[in-house]
Amino acid sequence: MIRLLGVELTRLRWRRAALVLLGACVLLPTVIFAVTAWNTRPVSSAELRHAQQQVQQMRTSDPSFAREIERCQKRPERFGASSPDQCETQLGPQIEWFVSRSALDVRDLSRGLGPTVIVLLAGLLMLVGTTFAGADWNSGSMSNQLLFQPRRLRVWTAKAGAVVIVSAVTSAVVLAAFWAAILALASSRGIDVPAHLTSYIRGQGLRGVGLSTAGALGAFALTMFFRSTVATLGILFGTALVGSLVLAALGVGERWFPHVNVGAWLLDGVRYYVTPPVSCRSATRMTAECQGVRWVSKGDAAAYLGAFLALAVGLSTLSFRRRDVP
Amino acid sequence: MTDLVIETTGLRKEFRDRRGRRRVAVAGLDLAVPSGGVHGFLGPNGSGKTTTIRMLLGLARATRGSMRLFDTEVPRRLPAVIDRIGAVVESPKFSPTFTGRQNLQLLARSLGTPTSRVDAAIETVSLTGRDGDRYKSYSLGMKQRLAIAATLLKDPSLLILDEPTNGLDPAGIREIRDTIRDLSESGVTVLLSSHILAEVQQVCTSATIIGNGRMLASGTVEDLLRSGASSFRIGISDPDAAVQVLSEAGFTSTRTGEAVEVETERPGSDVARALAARDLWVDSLVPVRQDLESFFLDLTASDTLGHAPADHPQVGS
Repeated sequence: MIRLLGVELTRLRWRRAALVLLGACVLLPTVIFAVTAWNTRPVSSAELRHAQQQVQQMRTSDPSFAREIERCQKRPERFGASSPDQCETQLGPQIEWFVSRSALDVRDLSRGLGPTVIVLLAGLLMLVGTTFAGADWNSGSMSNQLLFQPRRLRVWTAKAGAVVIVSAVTSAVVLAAFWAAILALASSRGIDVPAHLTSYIRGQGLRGVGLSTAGALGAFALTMFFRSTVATLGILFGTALVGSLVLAALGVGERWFPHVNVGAWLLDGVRYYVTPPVSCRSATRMTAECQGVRWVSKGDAAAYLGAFLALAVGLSTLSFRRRDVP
Repeated sequence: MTDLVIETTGLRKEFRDRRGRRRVAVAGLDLAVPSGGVHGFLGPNGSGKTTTIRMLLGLARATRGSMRLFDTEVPRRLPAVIDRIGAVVESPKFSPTFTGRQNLQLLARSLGTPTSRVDAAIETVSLTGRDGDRYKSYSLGMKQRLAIAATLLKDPSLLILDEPTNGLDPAGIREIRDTIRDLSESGVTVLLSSHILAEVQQVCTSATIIGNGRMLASGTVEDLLRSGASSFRIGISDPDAAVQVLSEAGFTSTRTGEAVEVETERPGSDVARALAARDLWVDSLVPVRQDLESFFLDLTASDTLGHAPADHPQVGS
């Protein structure tokens, strides 16, 4: 089994499409990090000077500003200022108008950009799993491989093992590097990251590794079942793009939407909303049920996503063991 | 029975077509391939040759029947004997973006075979120098040779080749034929599935002919040819009268130019005697030796028409 696993890891390493996709797994988060670092860079003294000049220029070139400030200083309460001193900052042109740039917010990133990077990684690793299995079916070389190792379950397991190892290692390394870089950047800018936030990021990273690996395994299993890269990609893109819309049209609750469950898994649970029951119309007390707020925990999401993975793996192994190989 | 390398009993394969209708690809085939030599496995396209081979190698499931390779039940115990079997089923199938060497290396590693064996296999099939090229850049002949090289990684006792010369030029066909002969001489039993009968006749020691998934005839090539209808070409001064006389005497004959062709199981002396009795004297009487092709066409044509191949029962074993 170990020998077969080694063979499959080599086969994966030799596939150009897989290498390109793994390269993209490193490149995309690197670009995202670089853009984030650039967009949140501190304002330089040159930028500040330039902004001050622009503020000054606006004040002098437009006399209406001076008149407004004058009126405000006489009756500040009418302009929403608590004192006449505030009028200039309240009404006049501000430096922020010319150098408006939000600072690096690690908490914000952990709720937005972090999950985005994980979803991107999961998507790319799913493509790795799909192309890896699809290439064997497209070329017909699967039958040749079975002439050398007819134990089909072993062949399936070795190939799946290669996909799992590569996906887990890639996602772990990339996510660790991404967050290490973000935390180092925050530290270099003197931004304190509380311990509970680092712990949350660590947990999200681990769940991200789990999601990416499970996604790659699921895509591999589906391709082994359909025996076609195109069919698997069609199913996956279809699910990602219109899965929730179709479920909504069928009247299925948000609880069962794929993106809600992926979000719940990565964000440690998410809220979703339902139409409150009719009985709530006459209710005197506004309970959570009557507010229409529901909660999907990461445990619920794990069960939901795990069921799909188990179904794909079960169908795939069963079909690979029993069906004729062309 | 232990000298049989392949043995199938009542082997049947059914599948459903796209409309859900049941199709029978192999209908109760009893196949027996003795150890040693080259055994031809003949049949027209769609007769069930490839399906039978795929079932033997575990690529397709049999609906019914039993199969044994080296006296071992397959597919249940196929892993126990697969290392002794090299096979090329239909066209060669490798990863197109890998080099020929990479393809062989992966197969060798899955067997636990040393890399030196890859070098030896490449050399045996004369691919040295092109083994570093991508498989997709290979000609059909090179692909076939790579497929044979893959079978040699195992040092097989049984080689199953399904239409190995399909699409090859005459030089390529000759190369493959020589390789088959060499392997056979080195003690490897070869099962050669083909519909190129001249080729089979040249290299095979025994053969099985199937049609519509059933065995039509089996035995040594010599026995098969002997069992077929024999004929004589007669040179005679009055061919029309000869045809008339032979017909009255119960022979099937036709005029071909200035000669008469007589199809019969009886000896040539009977033909000459029948003509002499009516004062027709034979100038020449030449037995026409039937080749495998005409025997095959004869056999499969009667099978296609739904006739039982009663004239050609199993010959020998």
